[in-house]
Parts: sequence; structure tokens; C-alpha cells
Amino acid sequence: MTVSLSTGLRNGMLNATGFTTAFTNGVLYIYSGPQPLNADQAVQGTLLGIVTKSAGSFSFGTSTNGLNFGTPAAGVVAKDSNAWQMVAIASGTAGWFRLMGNATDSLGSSTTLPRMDGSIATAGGDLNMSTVNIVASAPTTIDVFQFTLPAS
Amino acid sequence: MAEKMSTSLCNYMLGTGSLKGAFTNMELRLYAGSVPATADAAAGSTAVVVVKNGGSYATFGTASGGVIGINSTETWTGTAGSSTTLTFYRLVAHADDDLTDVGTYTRNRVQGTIGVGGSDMNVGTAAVTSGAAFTVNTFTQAIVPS
Repeated sequence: MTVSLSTGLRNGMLNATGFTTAFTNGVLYIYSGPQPLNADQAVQGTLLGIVTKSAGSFSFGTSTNGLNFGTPAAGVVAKDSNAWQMVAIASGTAGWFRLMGNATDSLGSSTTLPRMDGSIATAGGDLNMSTVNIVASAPTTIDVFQFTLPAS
Repeated sequence: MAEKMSTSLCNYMLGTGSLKGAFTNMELRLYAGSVPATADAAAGSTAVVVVKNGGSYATFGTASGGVIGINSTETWTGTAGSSTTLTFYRLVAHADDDLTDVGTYTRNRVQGTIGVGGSDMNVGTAAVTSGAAFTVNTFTQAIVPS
């Protein structure tokens, strides 16, 4: 499965809001199982962990410990220099992720919220991790997270 | 052939800006001749037709469903400067000088092909006559969901 952009994100990038702005002080959820058909749909699978800045506590609507991106270059934008980390909530096999912005996201169906979904694997995924076997209470660090807007 | 975005535009939309925000003083330029390999490359010639909202710059409407189109209050028209066959278009800011954009990446552009079918912009005929009006009835841009 490929990266999926929500309608809210796409409309924002066309109307008024860039990708980085849409995900300012955002959060990354890691789930088991296959990703939804598109990023407008409700989440599915078991929530294995919530990636935040240095695995700190995060609440929608508050910037504390939110994730941010750096400055785009050559059509690519990547995570900033802060540590993107989580302490696993549950054990399971990571299957997909959802990147969300700072506005409250109830994780249900939405055509207005900025979201980006993608698959997780050890290789060939949209997000590659050294292992997809997540163990409850164990830490995980996301070293590389970047998005490319293709020129064509 | 797929539309191409300039590096500047990609960076802008990945950062803080939107497509609409990138083209507040917008022109749709129609060219003849070889299609540049990328939207960063020089146009290679002067536009045959410069499409605007009458005497004003063109603007987009409001995006819906991941698609944005012509502002419904506007009429996008231009006049052919010569008799020729159109081959490609560029969406640019009015100040765009048509030159190569390398290094600093400051020129926001969208480039696509023009033809009677199977092109990025499909027209009734790609041949234009000097002095003739050219009207764009439909022009949309989309960000695909995946």
C-alpha cells in the first residue's frame, strides 16, 4: 500500500496550508494490521504506540511534545532534529502509521483533518523500521521520516 | 504525459504554502515548440498566448475533494500573438521570466502538455491564429490521495 493523503490535507495544500504547517506539532500513531483504504477513514487495528517528541506526553490542541518537520529542500521534507520516539502501549506487529496534525482528531472518519497514512515494514514499507515486532513498554525511535512531493 | 511542478513549488507546498497561495498573481502561458524536460527548465520561447482573467491576474477558486479549479467569477482568456501550434503550458506568477530555475529555486511553476486528446490540457484544436482569442473553460489541479 502506498502513502495516503486525507482530503483535508489535500484541500489544505491546494487552498492555504502547506504540508509542514498542516502537521505542525503533530503526532504519529502506530497500529497493527493493514492500513485503511484511505486516510479519510477511521483507524483500524490495535494502537501499539504514539510517537511524540522524545516520547513525551501529547494532547491534541497543545503544542507540547508535538512532532515537527524541517525545511523542505529539493521537493523533500523530513522530520526535524528532535527525537521522534514512543514507548509501546501494546505488543503486536506494526502494520501501518497515521500522521496527524495538532487539531483534535477523534480517529474516526473525516474529510477535513490533515492526515497521512502509510505502511510499516522492515523494508519496502512507507515507513521502514528495524523491527516491526513491537513489545509493550519498549521504546522505539523513528530515525528517518520524510515525504516527497513528486515533481511529476 | 504528466504535469510537472517546479522544485520551488514543491518546496513551497511542502512547507507553509498552498498551490493557491503560490499563484496569487497568476498567468497561464501557452507555448509552441519543444516541451521542456522539467518545469525548472527555461521555457525556450516566449509564450504565444498569455491567459488571464481579462486584464487582471487569474486566481483559483476553493479546493474541494482535493481538486481546485478556475475561480468561478473569472473568465480566463488570452490572445494569440502568432499563428502556430500550441504544445505546452505553464502556470506561473506574472513576474516569471521564463528562464531556468536552478540553485535558488524561486519560480513556482506547473507545466503540462497541450493537445486535442490525451494531453494534460485538451483543446479543440492546438492550432491558433494570430489575433484570435483563446478561452480556457476548465482548468483544474489536483493532489491525488495516494
